[in-house]
Amino acid sequence: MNLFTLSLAYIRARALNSALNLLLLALGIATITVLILFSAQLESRLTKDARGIDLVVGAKGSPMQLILSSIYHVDIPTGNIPYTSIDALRRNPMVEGVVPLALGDSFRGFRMVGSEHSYAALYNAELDIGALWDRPFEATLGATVAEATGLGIGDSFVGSHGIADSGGPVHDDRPYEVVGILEPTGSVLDRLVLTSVESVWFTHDAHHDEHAHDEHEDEHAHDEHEDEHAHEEHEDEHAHEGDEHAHDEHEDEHAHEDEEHAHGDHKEEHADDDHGHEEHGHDEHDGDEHAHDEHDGEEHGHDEAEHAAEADLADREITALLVRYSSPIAAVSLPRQINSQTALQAAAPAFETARLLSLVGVGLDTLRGFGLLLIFTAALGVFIALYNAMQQRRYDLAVMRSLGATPGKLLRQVILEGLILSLAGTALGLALGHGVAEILGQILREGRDLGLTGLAWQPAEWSLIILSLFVGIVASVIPAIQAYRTDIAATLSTR
Amino acid sequence: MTDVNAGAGAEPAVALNGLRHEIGGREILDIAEWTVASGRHALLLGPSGSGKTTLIQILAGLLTPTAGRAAIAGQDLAELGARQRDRFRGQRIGIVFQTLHLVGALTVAGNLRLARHMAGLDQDEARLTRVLESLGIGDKANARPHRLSQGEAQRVAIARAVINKPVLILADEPTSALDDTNCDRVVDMLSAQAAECDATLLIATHDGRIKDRFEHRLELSERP
Repeated sequence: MNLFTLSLAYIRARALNSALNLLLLALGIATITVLILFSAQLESRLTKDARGIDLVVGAKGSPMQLILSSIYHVDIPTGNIPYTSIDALRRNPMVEGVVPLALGDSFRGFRMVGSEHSYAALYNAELDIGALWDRPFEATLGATVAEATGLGIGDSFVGSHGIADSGGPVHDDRPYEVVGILEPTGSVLDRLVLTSVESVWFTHDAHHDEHAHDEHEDEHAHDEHEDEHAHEEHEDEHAHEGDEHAHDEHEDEHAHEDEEHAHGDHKEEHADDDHGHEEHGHDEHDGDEHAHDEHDGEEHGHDEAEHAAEADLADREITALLVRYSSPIAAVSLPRQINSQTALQAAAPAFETARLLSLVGVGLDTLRGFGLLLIFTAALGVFIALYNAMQQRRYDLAVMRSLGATPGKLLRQVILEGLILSLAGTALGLALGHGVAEILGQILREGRDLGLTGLAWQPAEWSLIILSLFVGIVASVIPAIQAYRTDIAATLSTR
Repeated sequence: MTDVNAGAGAEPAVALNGLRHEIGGREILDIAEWTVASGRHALLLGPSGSGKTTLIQILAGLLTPTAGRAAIAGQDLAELGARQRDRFRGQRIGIVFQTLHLVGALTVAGNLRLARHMAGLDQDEARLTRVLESLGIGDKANARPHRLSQGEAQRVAIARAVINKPVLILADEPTSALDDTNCDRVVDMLSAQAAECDATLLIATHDGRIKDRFEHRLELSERP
């Protein structure tokens, strides 16, 4: 028997009332806990994913959509931009680095990103096993993708067109080979399939140009294989894929180029205006190589492919460019400079992320207000329960005084009772909140994408515990003073 | 109050001197002198409104008299500080209320442990069992008060009053609701328990049936 067990006995004596108050408080605490966990994790995830990226350059459209699609990989891209845009940026002294992104395909709901190794470096990704992608149609998987799909080194898979979960048409003629798997980074990278920009190009050339596609298949059958349907051959092809493919491309491009000219003349011109210098350099270089190639009969095919690939660049498109500034001054001039160009748009992740959080924040604030209201209601419930209990318990209080209890002891007992209730409600609420957060993080697709979990502790939760301690004390202080002031003689005289 | 036992036995259990008490200017009590020797039992007799309950509360240190002295085992309660008076009451005085006032949230044993805890005494489970068994309710230790019969509840109230081995047991109208048989039995139990702790028993009553049980008595008259 001590004050604690006595308080517990009193709480048990009105079990239903206590349980309801406890539940009310727990619901309020749980609501706020989930909010604290999710908003903190969302914010840290958004910040983490955008770290090292000062600017995203992409097609015109909503800047937020551009950020969402090319950094967080949650929205559809705004469109494509000429690959040559990268050169102008790379020449810009205010730019420290540019990472190209080619999006558009997915594998079992995981987005495929055609990029350079510098993209993985942005997130300090380490290889768990294997290597980074090198040749076209080699892929390196993010940790979550590897875990979810069960793919390992040497396995092949086909991407599907489109980035929706269900996916579009399957590129079953172009299997990718897994060459590496990344360690978990806790960033968006975990849920991506990384490959080269070329892989994405080649996939879509084949996809968009069915004629070329057919020819390509035919050629294969003629040149190398008697049975084009044998499954193993796909893997054999892999070794040569890049070369042969590029070779095909060279032929395809004529048709493609013509199309482009017909459809998007102004776009082409625009690219030329900006990058005139660069183009010249490239052309000259190509010329040299070509001349050189002619002497080298044996590698003719290979070099021609390279030549083709480089010649293609002027017509190639990518989805977005991730830019890192070399000096803070770039933040002032570079976005304006890019946005003034008709075809390109520059969006700053920091600004858009802040805007996104402030939009989401309104909803979060509403829910937080709701949670606080629940806590306030619970506090009121605890107060009413204790206050009424003091009326019913005034004989008990008088008896305790007659048994030797000091008024201070009665005061402490009542406050302890309020504290036990509020702390138990808080503990239950925190457990409930973390449980719900974990379950939501598991079952909601968005939760999984963002890596939301209930198995983490936020420092803000300490303030929640302090708040509930405060609530417990405030709710019990008036009943406690009642207990303290019990006129024991008068109470015992009442019959 | 380092040693509340000092003087027990030598000093009278109860000593009243020129005790007066007024409530709202109206005189409730006026007792020139009255003592009860240690270990003796006594009755406070008088009709309702004669100040019996007020005197009980003064003797228990719950009420400070307007004037005069009330000493328990040589200790003038008015001289003690509030905390010391609470402690003295818890350890040296056992009270049986007319309406029992068992704590419903606790078991029978819990009510007894509450008495020791509130008096600042360590728990003594052996004594707890012994007291319950001596009152014939050893099997009720874990029962809740609302499950008890009136007779059982009364025994629990007596057990709670004696668990701390007080020097003075105050019983306020303990028999008013009982039939003749139970009336005798309760007085017997109170006497036996008081004897067991060498305590002085003081029963306040207007119950004519127990008038003859004790020789030493203080008659209080109804105030106009």
